[in-house]
Amino acid sequence: MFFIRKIILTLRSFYRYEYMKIKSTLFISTLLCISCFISCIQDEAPNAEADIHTCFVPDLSDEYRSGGKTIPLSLGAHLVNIWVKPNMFDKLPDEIQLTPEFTLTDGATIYPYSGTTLTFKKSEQYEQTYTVTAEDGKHLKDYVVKISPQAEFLVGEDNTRYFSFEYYDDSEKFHTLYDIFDGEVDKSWTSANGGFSVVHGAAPAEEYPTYCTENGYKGRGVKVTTCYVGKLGEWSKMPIAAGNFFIGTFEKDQAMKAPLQSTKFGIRVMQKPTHIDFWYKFHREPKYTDEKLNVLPDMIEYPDVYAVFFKPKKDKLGNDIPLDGSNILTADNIVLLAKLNYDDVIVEEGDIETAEYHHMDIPFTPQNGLEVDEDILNDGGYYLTIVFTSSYKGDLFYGAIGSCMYIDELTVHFEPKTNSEE
Amino acid sequence: MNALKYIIFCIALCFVSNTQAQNFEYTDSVTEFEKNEGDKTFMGHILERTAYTFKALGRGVEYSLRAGYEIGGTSPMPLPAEIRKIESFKPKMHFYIEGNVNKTFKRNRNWGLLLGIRLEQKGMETQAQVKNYNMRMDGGDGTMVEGAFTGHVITKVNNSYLSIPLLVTCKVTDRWKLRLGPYYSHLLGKDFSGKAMDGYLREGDPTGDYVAVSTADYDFSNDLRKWNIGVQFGADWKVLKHLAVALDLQWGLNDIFKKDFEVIKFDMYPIYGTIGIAYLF
Repeated sequence: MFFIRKIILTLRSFYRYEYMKIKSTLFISTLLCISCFISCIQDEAPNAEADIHTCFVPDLSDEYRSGGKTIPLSLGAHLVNIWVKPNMFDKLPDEIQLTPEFTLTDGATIYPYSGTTLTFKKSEQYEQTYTVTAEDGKHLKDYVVKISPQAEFLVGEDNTRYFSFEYYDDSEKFHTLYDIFDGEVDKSWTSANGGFSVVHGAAPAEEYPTYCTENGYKGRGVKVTTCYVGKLGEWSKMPIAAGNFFIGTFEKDQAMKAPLQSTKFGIRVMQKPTHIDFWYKFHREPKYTDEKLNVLPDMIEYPDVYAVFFKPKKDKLGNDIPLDGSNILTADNIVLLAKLNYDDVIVEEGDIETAEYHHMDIPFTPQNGLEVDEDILNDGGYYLTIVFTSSYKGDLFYGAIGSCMYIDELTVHFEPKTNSEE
Repeated sequence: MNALKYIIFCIALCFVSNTQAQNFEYTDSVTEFEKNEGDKTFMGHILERTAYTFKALGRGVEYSLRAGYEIGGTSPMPLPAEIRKIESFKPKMHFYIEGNVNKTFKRNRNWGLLLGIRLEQKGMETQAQVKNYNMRMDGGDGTMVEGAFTGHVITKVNNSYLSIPLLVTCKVTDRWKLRLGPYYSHLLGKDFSGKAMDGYLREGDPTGDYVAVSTADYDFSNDLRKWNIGVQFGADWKVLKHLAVALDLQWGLNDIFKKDFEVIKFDMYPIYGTIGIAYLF
């Protein structure tokens, strides 16, 4: 106590000499020192991510390989597909030696090491498992590297392809429809449900924009609905999600940033399509809104259906560039197009659940003055996609929430193969 | 107010000097007392007595009223490795008002105890570059994304509190008075929100699904803790007899978020300074 008193007395005598201003300076500098201490930025922590960015396979012969030697991967993927031509997949040897090389997240390591020659065996579905370890050593990610046949639009002997939409997989939070053709599972159809699940993880499957309904024309069918995405969707400038169902792939990683680019349309097709026919019913909600949910009284909702046959361009790596949401109807490489005429759409007035299905047939018409080249066709140089959506301007986030379309029993008709006659 | 106190003080002084001897008579008989005093009423007398009691109690008590600006930041301490760069920091100048009572100790008049009540607002806005910053974007209607975010984060804090400081004061000189002690703050108005921009989120943890984010909002206002305790250190510099410049630093000691809130993995503390003017009664 005496000591503290002594200090205070000393301080007092010090301040008596009108050193007040020094005191205030001292006080402020103390404050500044403290704030400096707070704002010290720590050293950067080692990377925690463990991704394969690209996979380079130099030693697969051109005879089998489809696309370029370098396979770019979307971040977040767990599967690396080394694509081979669909018709060559069965001709692959039982054991094939490949030396994949990888580019990884900075600081990450992979085991087996990049550049190791491994044997891919038919008995193991041509699969190898790799483990990527992040720079921090704590985060690990497993990848399956696999030789896969590139997806192809399979056509039956009668030059048609029929989809009854009976099968779905609910291992994720939503329904993913698939087809069974010739005893093989065909996962060509997809939807943007994966994007909806990013923000709406807790919703039950029937509340997703795309759903495998029990109320089909025959058995099950597809129901696409324009859904409200919720507050988070509004904040991310994506207030609605138009139900969509298409042939292609959906890249979830870009769905919130560039939604139009996240839908990659089309798969390889070996025959020229002529027309599509299907059964549908459509329910229209009156309240049509724009991307900020402002009501547009003059607009009314239509569904959309289109089938696009196009010749994909190649990227620098030699891989095909599919069409995406930004150019699916406008690209200059579209060869044939079958598109719904909105005037033909029958809108249900009563309860959509109990309403009757209507039949629709849409022919393909040539586009951009392009003609189908038989050689390119036989070489797998054309792609085909079919798109169903519940809002015709859903890509711009315009639509009437609650509008929905049911689709079932789709048939795609093709011209007979030319080379089969040879 | 001060004038009133002065008058009461004078009355009390008169009372002490004049009526000490007459107290016995007063206690014996009110009627007799009234005769002796003549013009003094009973109520008037009671008033004088009360004033005396207050004076006795209030010896060494100082009242003051303070107002000024509060400025500072709500920050993790120290900054975690997830924060790579502070790109901007905009403290918000908010008004505060405080009333307090300072009682000095009998043994040493230089030391005392201060009890106050303060209405204040603590606000700021920062933009930081982050890496693997754990965050959740919650729409509050079932829409939610949670994971490790890399990119830019804007944080806006605007909380109002009713605070009660209990401080030990020390008069260093006639002009300087220091104070130090704990305070308790009760949350009245809350806002802790912001934006994640130009980056990506890995769902769950850094090896999870990749979601590119151009802009997305978040709001953690409902996860804020109702109360906050901390330490306050300050000084008064007496400029005039009744006027002082007051400087204070308030350092929060508990996380501003509820215990079960785990989205922001590190604790955040409010660290604010005030500059104001005190009127000493």
